[in-house]
Amino acid sequence: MLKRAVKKYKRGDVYMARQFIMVQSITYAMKAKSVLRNNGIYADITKTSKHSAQKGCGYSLIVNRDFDRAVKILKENGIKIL
Amino acid sequence: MVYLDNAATTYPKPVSVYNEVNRCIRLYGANPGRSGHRMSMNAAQQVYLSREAAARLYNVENVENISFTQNCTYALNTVIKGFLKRGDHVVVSDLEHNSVLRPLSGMASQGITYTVAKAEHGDFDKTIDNFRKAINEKTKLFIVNHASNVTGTILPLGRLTALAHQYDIKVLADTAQSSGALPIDVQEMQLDFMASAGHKGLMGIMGTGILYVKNPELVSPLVCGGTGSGSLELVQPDTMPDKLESGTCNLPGICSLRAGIEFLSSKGIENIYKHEFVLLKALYDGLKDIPGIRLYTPEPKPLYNAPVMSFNVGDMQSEDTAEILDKKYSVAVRAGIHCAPLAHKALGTQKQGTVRISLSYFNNMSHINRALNAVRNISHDYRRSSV
Repeated sequence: MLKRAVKKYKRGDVYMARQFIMVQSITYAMKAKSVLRNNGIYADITKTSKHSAQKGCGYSLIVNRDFDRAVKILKENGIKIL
Repeated sequence: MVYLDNAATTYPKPVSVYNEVNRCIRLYGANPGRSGHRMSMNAAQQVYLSREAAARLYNVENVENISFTQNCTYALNTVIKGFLKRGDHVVVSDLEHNSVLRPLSGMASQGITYTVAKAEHGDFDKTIDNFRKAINEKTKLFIVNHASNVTGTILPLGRLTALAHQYDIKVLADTAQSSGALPIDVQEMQLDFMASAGHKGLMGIMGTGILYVKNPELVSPLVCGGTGSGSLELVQPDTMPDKLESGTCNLPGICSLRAGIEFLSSKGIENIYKHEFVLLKALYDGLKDIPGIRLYTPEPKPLYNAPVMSFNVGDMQSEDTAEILDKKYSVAVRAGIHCAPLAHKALGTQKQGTVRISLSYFNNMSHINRALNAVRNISHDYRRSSV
């Protein structure tokens, strides 16, 4: 089941929700970022911390909006989401 | 110096390649895919862009099916040792490099056998027929040298793949000499595996190679280790390219490879081949008119010749000819046995070796003329001393 990790962080005086999509490797993170960009969704990549406690190091995409659409696009493009 | 040893490694490289190595080391000098800081992320982005460039060059559908290796030998060994199982049989051409023949021979103790099929220069039908005759019920793999590093002979890669697939046989293409010189489309050719050097026709620096694997689940990794992914698990990840890329990668080399590929794309592979073919034909026409020259590469024809030519001056040892070319005429070539023992057996040059001239985009007609004048003088002196 897809886990939607939400983390609050402060930008100026505004707290924003960041949603994480964890993928299998840095290559898939780069590929996912590229695929999303081609579909008009900006994503950033971060090294995954507590989300990967079971398996160890990993990388995730941070998507600030269109989370569900982003997940759908990635799945359609064969990118496995952990 | 006139550099005509491009089959060993291309020289010079495009200026953009030198600049990219410098830029990479200075700006992205962190370990890609290991850390989370910006420089590491930027480094990983550079590797990914390089992977994308390679995927575009070969028309690879899934960019992750490109893995970077340290050279073509490593890529070939990965498939040979990671795909074959005890009792399997392989068909190879008689133009294969030791990077294929040695690992295969070393696997005899594991029950791996192979048959050599003769590659007929300029006769694709005959070559295909020779491969067909070598198939038996245990054949699992064809290994095809797309272009010979001794004679420049091109093999019909796409047609051999079509033949192999009729018998449920996979194909490993060695494109060390053809990548960057000839168009290669892995989907059109339906290749299962493709290995290439990064520092020859692709214009990257040494220490770079490419392995394309269509179905990664068919290959076990040659080396296991850290990948920056799933680090709590003791088993090697089965996701590509991590499965085949353990340890810190050669970031400057990979960036140089991207710059090289971008250079090739800007010029167009077909245009590069046309340029090199004109020089190759001029070289052949010049050499055949020099008394006492033995040519081992038949008259060049498009589709049949990569920009490589082998010859000897009478009975002179090939190394002696190359030494004179270097010291007296400042022409750099390779001589001897070019790590392709079966090719020399077929040519009858096991004792003498051959002098090999190999071209790149940066060669021009003045280089050819200078080499021809030098060979003409060497041949003249040799014949006079033999009287």
